[in-house]
Amino acid sequence: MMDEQTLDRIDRYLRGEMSEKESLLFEQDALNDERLRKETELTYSIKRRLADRQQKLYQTNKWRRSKQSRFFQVGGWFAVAASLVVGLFLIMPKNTQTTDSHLLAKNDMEEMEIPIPSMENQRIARVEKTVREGRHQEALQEIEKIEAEQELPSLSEISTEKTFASYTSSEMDVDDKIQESYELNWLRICSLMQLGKMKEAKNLLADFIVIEGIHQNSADSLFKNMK
Amino acid sequence: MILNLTKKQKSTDIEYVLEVQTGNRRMTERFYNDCRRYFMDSYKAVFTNITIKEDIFQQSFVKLWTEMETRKIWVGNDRRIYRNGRDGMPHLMTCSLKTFLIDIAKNDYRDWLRSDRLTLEDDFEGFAHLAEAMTQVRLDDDVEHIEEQIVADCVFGLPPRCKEILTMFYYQKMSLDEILKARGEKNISKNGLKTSKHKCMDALKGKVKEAYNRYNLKY
Repeated sequence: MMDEQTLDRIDRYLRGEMSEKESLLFEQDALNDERLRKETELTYSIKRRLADRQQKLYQTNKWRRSKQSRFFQVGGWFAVAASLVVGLFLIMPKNTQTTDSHLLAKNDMEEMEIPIPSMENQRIARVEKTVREGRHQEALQEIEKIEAEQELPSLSEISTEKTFASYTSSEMDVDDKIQESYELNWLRICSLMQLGKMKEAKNLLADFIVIEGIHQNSADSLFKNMK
Repeated sequence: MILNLTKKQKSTDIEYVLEVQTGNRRMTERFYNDCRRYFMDSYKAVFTNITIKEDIFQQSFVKLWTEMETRKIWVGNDRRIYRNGRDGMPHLMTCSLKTFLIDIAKNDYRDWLRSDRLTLEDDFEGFAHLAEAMTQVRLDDDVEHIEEQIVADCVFGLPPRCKEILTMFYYQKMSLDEILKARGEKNISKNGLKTSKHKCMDALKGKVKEAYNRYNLKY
């Protein structure tokens, strides 16, 4: 077994932390000392394998993302095309003129409700976008602002209820607020982790994992990893 | 007008192995997509925790890709696929590459479950399973490939924490302070981390040397 000092020296050489003079001296030593040479070769070989594994992981991630973006690109075109077709169907009957009253198709245009995303969904989407764009500090401020303005329940308040199902349908407003707070807190955890504020994120996760919701599994897994 | 609509041809496992070994990235990507589709379809039937399926797939695929690249998996003259087994002899692969991928994933999944329960100190005891996981290589293969296979096997068999620390240190060239910060481990000092890193490296090198000796390779 080599002493720690020599191992550190090998590391410094392989990490390119030596000056030119030091490097030359190290190479000379390695030429004269077979053990040092072999140890350096082995460390280099391990370093290469670790790098190879990591690069392959990056590459596979890239393939996954490119596949997803291709899917969304195609999906996007389909969405545009579908909207045009739907739009035509909606507009056409209105322009159709006919005198035959019993053939007249009832135009439901006025009665039809075009789904408009609720205010809370719009707010969540806005924060989500900020997080996706990596503006985590901004996202955290935005979350705080929304919470104060909308008087949303805190995560610990929700977690004491354990489940959303405990609210009755007549308490729709409360339910919406809980839902919004749940989503915003999930985004807050993501941002805190990205900012390296692990302790804060962990504290929130501790409350989060007892709430039944779509992020429960992910939160549970994250919490276990942090522990 | 007659349209000539031909079905997109599927590649065989033999084609995949040969093309991956020549470093054909387009074919490797195609193989990746094929495997991914198969894996995602089969995942639910095999594993219970679905939150880590992407990670498990990526890791398992990289392991399979490495085995193909380092010729641990290879195509014989009889146009059949072999894999170097524990007994040091080539074994005919009796399943498809995709089924084999699921097998690798099962092992990774078990490792993940194990690592989930591990404490920091237990990590090194986790090395015990390395010897078991290490497979032997064909003696008539060229030395360079055997060495590559051995080191790759040992690196893949590292406990997750060791893999992460060593990757950060050697690949990402992070300092010990940066690693401490990135991992967010509060209960370990810089010296503790340094000792952990050395322990990981010592154990890894020990395993590599052991395997070299077993195959009478010069170290």
